[in-house]
Amino acid sequence: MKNPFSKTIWSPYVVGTLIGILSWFTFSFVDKAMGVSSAFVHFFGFLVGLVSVDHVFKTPYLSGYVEAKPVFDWQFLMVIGIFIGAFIASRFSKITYSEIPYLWGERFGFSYNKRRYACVLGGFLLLFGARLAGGCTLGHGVSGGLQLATASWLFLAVLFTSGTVTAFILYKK
Amino acid sequence: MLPYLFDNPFLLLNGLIVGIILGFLLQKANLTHFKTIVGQFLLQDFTMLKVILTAIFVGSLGIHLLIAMNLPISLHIKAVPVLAVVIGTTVMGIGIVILGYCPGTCIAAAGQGSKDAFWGLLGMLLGAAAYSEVHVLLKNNILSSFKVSSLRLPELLGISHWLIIGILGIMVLVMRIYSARTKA
Repeated sequence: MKNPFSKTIWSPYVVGTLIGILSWFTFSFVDKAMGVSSAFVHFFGFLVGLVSVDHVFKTPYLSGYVEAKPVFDWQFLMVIGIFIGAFIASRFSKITYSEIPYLWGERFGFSYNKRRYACVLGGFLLLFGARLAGGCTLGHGVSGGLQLATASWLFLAVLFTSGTVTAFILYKK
Repeated sequence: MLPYLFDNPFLLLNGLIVGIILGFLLQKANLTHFKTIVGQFLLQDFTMLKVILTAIFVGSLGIHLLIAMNLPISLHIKAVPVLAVVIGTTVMGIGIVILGYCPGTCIAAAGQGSKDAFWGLLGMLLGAAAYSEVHVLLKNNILSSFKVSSLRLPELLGISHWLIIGILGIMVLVMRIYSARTKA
């Protein structure tokens, strides 16, 4: 019998279904919604705390996350898990990924330094925007979306609009 | 060092396991690929939409069934002022297309070994840092702006959540049929 784990790419419907089922368990067993963006705030709080706990407590946003709550919480471990799970999955796949994606290089040039700066910039916009909006694609979009939260559906609508417009401007010939 | 570091071990283990499953699934769906994510926003590759919509449909169906069975499910809903959502998400949309990953898939991409994802993670930490520091400045303007009156769609639209879930299910079904047809 063919091993499903070795099939390089799974159907998006199967994956979506399994993620949806996963959410049933997180909501019922541990009362948590999947999301990754808060973990980055936690980690930043932790790093600042290594230098100045005082600053953490004086910065309301940070203290709200790590003062009365543990730094390394469920979500943080979930983030670590994602890294590990993807690592395991990648061992079954033969797909290679270029550091400079072709589409990106075609538009901006195939310079490693440029790509790295762009990645840092992109990541910066990603998390800054996510925290302002109240969550990332997983936290706001999926978890919020499945709860039929108004803000989350607004998030999805704006994300797909903004992303599509930007993609067309940047990459469409 | 902050005084309160670790949550209870059971919870941490659970988070780790959930994450491993999620990371595995994201990688298996090929969402950890610039081509897939940007392909979605160029309206050429609909993997992202299919996964998200299916996850929302299945998740919503299950959660609301559990609630209907009177199980103690609490909702974790974000009530975010409209302006903050719109501006924040717009910024996110730009970032996702430049980097080629969303936050979750970036972590997964790093796990699979994509070097650019690691730079993305660095950027994400910086972004979280920057926001944490400027949040207080935004509190009185963007974050105090107009909030949508109803937290959830059923109340906002005045319809049953089952109707919305049903519509989602039909959308997933239509997509699935269309996918199967265009594969031939």
